[in-house]
Amino acid sequence: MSLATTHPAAHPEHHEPTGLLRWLTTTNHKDIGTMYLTFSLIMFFVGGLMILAVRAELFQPGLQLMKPEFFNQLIGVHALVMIFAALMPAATGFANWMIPLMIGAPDMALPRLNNWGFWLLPPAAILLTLPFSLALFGIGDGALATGWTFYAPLSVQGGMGVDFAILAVHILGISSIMGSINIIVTIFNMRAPGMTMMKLPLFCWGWLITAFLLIATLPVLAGAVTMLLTDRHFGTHFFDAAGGGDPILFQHLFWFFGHPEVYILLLPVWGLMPHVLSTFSRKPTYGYTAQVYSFIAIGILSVVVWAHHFFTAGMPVPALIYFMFSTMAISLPLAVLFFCWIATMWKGAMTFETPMLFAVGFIVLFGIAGLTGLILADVAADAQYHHSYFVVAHFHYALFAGGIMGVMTGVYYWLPKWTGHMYNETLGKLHFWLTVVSFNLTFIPQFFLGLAGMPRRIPDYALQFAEFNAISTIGAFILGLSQLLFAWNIWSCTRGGPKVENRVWEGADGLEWELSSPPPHHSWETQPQIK
Amino acid sequence: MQAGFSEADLERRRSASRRLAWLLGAIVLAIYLVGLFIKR
Amino acid sequence: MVIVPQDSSASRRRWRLTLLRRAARLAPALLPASASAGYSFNFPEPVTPIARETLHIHNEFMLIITTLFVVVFAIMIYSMIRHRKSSGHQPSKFSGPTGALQWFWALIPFAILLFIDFVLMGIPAVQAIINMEDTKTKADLVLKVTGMQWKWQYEYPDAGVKFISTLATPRDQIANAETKGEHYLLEVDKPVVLPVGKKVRVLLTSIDVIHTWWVPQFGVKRDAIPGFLRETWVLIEKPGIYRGQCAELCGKDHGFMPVVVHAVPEPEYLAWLEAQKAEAKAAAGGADRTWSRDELMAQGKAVYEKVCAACHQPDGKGLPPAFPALAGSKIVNGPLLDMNGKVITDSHVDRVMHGKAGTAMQAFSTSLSDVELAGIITYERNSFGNQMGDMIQPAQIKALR
Repeated sequence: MSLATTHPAAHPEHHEPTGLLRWLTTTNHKDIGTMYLTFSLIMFFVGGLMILAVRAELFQPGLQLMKPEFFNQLIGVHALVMIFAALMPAATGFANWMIPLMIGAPDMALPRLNNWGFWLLPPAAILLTLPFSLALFGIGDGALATGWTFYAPLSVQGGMGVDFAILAVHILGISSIMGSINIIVTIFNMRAPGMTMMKLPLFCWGWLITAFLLIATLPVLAGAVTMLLTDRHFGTHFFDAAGGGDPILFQHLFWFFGHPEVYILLLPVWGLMPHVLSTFSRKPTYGYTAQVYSFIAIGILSVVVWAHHFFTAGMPVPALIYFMFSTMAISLPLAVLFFCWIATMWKGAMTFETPMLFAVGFIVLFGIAGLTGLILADVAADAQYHHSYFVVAHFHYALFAGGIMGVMTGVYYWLPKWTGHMYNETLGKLHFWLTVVSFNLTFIPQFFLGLAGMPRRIPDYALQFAEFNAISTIGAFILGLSQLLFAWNIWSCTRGGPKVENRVWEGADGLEWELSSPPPHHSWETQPQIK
Repeated sequence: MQAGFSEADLERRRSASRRLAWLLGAIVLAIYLVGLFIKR
Repeated sequence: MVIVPQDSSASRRRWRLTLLRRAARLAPALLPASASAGYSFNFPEPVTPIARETLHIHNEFMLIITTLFVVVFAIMIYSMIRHRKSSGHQPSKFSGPTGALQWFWALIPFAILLFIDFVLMGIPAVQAIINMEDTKTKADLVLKVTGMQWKWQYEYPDAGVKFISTLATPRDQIANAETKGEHYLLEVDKPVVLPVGKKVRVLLTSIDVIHTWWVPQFGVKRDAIPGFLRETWVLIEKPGIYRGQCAELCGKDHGFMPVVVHAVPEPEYLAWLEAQKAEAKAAAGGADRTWSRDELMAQGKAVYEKVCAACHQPDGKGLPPAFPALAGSKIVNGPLLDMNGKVITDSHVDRVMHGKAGTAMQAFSTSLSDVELAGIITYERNSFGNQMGDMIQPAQIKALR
């Protein structure tokens, strides 16, 4: 892939490698950002294909395409791929590309760590998907079939797919931790003189909180899956009641990571939104300080609400009440964010290029995620929602309409800066509308399926669920196909297109827009002036 | 725009970064080990 | 009639598409929520106090969040129409509230949300939780539910009645070789029977992995966790047949272990219970006589197909490596008992009675009777090409417990 960054040959004193070796050994934050984003896009399609196979099976009652064991593998690996191999690397790609540009730093603080952090990802992705292929040759019985949540004791029982997934999760975790450490030290130590913390762009603030959440919670996940590994193979009984352990301990440990994880997936996007909204409203960001404190509040709150993921496991009434109220409390800083986003738009002079369309779509659809999250927090009603398709719909509004569409916003917004070319605007708008309509077609029926009583993670269902499942499948296929437009647009934009200025967008503000499009190979060789 | 970050300045920032990175890594390891000993 | 802004064709198109999108989202909610099979938009009809309370809370909350959604996004859409560059609007420069009035507008939504969360939603929720968790007050009877891969076992401890409830939908329907019945995937061979109008305390556990017992019309969902006892309660107000499913991924047949409860007037329930007690006595009496080879094989075949074939397959070939083949298996073709008539570790009898730790092979001595166990073991040793020629009596199984 040839990004039009200044060719290394323009710096003869560097003797930098070209071709494959360049990408293997690069310590340049822009190159590494590109690799993260490319990897993410590929894995997005891999995860997408898996779930299209699932939705094809769910098109009609009865088992048409696959055995239940295989179905269970597909849904679990789909989630692990989308979360760990698509969303997180995309956000990390953004961080790598943009943080040094935004703070006036020549590169990330620890460039070699940066390279290692990326190159751990492809092996991890292979480990996750290898069991599928091994099973084809009769080795083992496929990938992990416990859902991405790995609950014990089912995961203690499972075949070697679980071991592969445990190893992959360890490696993915180490990669994220490396990235997070790099981001924290870069933001703390590498800001250009004059850039105080309260002048830090909101995208950087979002990632700063994300990075702290990652280093606080990933080790707990790693601990939990290590304990799972030893329960499986080394005779421990952490999660086995007969041996004095407790299966619910696994759920506590997993979700102690798992809940902050969803904010890890969303904070970078929440940090990006103000940039986009301000640019296309041609107005300063509203409520900078409020948004910073909201990020921090959400980060802290996210760590003390985990048990709302298993209200039906049976916990004492005081615990139920506490976790319900603490979960609901998150709606308050989130409301502050929504307020500030809309207030940024208010009385602006808006235009609706593709990034702005995605930003507005994000706000509306992520609003649905937040509001349905509020009712899920209610313990009494949760008895009906838990482990039903209502939850599936809720988290896809949060993670697709929130996370993925947020990433798409960022891609359309920054692609011209990275490549020096404008993408195809008509194709971008078409991609937006197809995505939004088909996304809703896919997931609104799922809310109703959950209310009607359809549980999650089942390959076949009772007849009263048939109509909504069929509609959902049709929506899913349109959604999947529409993403080809996205991939094509990105691909052709990297190859060429109308040249763009430094300040790609009329209303854009920030250090990154003072550099050329694309930026020079060495960012900020001359120090920027901070206003 | 002034000249770029001076080499000395960069070196100071990088060693500060390395120190903080090791500290954060140690915290991560500590959390991991503590997690292995949690029982309900 | 909506007024479409006249500034540009592009914005007109956008507005029309926005309308279309919003209409599409609202349309299903406006259709009558009954007639056509399969388009339902809310919880099924509640038949317990908890389910009614839950439905009420849900409806209230849906109203609140829908109002919030409409109000907030009406404001945003208004802004998108009025504050556009193409209509000549000049951008303001404010980046925060200035003056008391603006602070008021900024803080009021916050205060409203605080009230909605912790008072409007929170207080009824706390009441409902306390009610839901009150399993012991005035409970009239106890039902013990045990989750297993992939069926439910029900026990009425006070009456000494215990039985397994398995999916009754024929595999041919699942494989699309036969038309699906009306209660496809939601029918069992032996449903739970409970009296109407009595508070039933439901105890739950599991013998292998976590399962979850869920009957939507009862408003009840509770995990069944191996090694632990959980509880919930139901007071069914209306006679009828109520169907639910397992709601925690528990392995390959997670989607195939439904819950079916027949709620009947108390006299009918008591009569049924007596009939169950009599049946249990008859089954236990199996150990009182000697069974012939043919009787054991017939009994064994029936139970094998209901209980074992899901994993070991009707032809005994299994689904290795997770579910070993019984045909030609070393264990099945090994010795029955040792010279003193005791169980040999890891032998056929040991496996069937005590399961294999760490796998889906459960200890069937807890859920099957002496006759059933003797039948299965005999059947397996003399089928699928296995020709051990021996058999085991229910009385022997009873002695080995």
